Amino acid sequence: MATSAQLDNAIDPAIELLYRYTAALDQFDYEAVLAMFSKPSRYRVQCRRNYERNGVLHIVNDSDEQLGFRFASHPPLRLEPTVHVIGNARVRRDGGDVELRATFNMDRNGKPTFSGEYIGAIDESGDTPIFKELMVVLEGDSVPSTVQIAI
Amino acid sequence: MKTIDEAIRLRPDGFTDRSIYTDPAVLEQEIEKIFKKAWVLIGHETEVPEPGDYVRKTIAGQPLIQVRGNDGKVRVVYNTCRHRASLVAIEEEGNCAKTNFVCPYHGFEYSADGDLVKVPVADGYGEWFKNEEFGLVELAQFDTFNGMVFGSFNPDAQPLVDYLSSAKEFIDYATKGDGEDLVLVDSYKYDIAGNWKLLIDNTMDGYHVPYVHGSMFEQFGISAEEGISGIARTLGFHGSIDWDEGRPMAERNVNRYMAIFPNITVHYNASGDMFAIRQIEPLNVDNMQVTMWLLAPKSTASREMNERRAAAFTITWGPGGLFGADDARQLEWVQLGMKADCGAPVLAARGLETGDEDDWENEQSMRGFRAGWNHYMNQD
Repeated sequence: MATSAQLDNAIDPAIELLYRYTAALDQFDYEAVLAMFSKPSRYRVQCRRNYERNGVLHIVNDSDEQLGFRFASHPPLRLEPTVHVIGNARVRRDGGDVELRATFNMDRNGKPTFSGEYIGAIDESGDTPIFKELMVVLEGDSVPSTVQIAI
Repeated sequence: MKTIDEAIRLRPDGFTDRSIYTDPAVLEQEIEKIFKKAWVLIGHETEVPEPGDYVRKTIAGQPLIQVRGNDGKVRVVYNTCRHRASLVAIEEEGNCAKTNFVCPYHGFEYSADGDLVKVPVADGYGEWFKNEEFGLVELAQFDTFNGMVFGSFNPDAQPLVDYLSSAKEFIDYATKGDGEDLVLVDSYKYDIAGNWKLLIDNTMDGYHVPYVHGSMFEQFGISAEEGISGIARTLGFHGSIDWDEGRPMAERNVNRYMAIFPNITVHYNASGDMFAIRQIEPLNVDNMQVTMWLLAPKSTASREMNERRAAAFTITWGPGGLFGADDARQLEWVQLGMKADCGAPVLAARGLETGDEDDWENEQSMRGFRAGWNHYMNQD
């Protein structure tokens, strides 16, 4: 007989935010992506090597304003569809702080392109959670492709 | 009126066969005749600031280690054990001052100076085996210039200072602060799906700026066609573009981008005193790997200043920068187009007949690079 915990299929709202974020990227819906970030907020991409040693150099280090600028400067590359797959998502709440972590793979044009980890700081003060900061840590010795939009 | 055939006959350097970007056999020759004959960049001295610090490198497919010896000297040695050839440095970087390089296969140990210091069960060899004759093998030549570590696989290569020749004072401006040494801020690697020469061409090409980067300039409310200008120079096989916009060089207000033959670009951005070096390594004929170092004058390399430099650099260059990502994506499209087996050469001919050689929208620096390419590829 199933326990009540096993029947509870509700997704944690912070994890659902990450699902919505990656789905919006895959659908080229950049307005929706921007709406998932607080003002101010930061969106960063960094290699694992640089992240682990607290390096200053990022692949992307955008404020919410710069992220909007990035989207505005680059029309959606609809000929290059992406698919994100998320795994091992977990949320840690400590007082008012909410940290989200999840691993991911991203295909571009049907080919494995990026793998890594999302590390998000979440603002849950409003009706729906939004990112205060999202760090994308890329695995591998070398960034394997260009990052014109976001991952 | 000249025909295109006459133009090609008179100035073949302005016209390039596509196969040099797409033929694997050409890349094999480039490795042997250029990368193993000319001087190539290995890294930067400040990657290995302390005795025993090392970084693994792969240059021209060769496994190397840049290491600062216990004597303080930076060396470049092959990353291979003298016994059974295994790599001796497995981690990408580290410090071996106390641990030595220990071959994981049979335990041969080499000091940071490259000396063989321990052979397990050494008495199994004969009298002929002398440790001093079995140290890590040094690269044929290595030398430094403004902190950049260069190497050559060619024992007969001319001295580095002669190789850099007419580009030296320009490299000084782009790789040295106001007489002050630079230190490494941070680095990373990224791949571009294009032939290695395309990024060199791109760095020396002012012509593409209003087009590839036009949408970015529009966001700033700048007309790239009218608002940006520069001066291009051919410096032997090397080249330089100054984004001068009427600003005085003496005040170090001029941005300078350079290509050092064969596979190095250096960048000085006056805003924030940002210095960067890119090393371009062919992975195969269709793909390159770029190692990018961000540097800063030692006296201003505080964490806070470096974060500001890195943020400014990140938003422009690199695989996620507004310029860098656009360039990389464009080069991927060029590489795909180069595969068209249509018999038509690609052009680097702009400015050939105008005499206006320093116009940055002309393509003379590409032709200078190509002259170097021809020089090395036509040697036996």
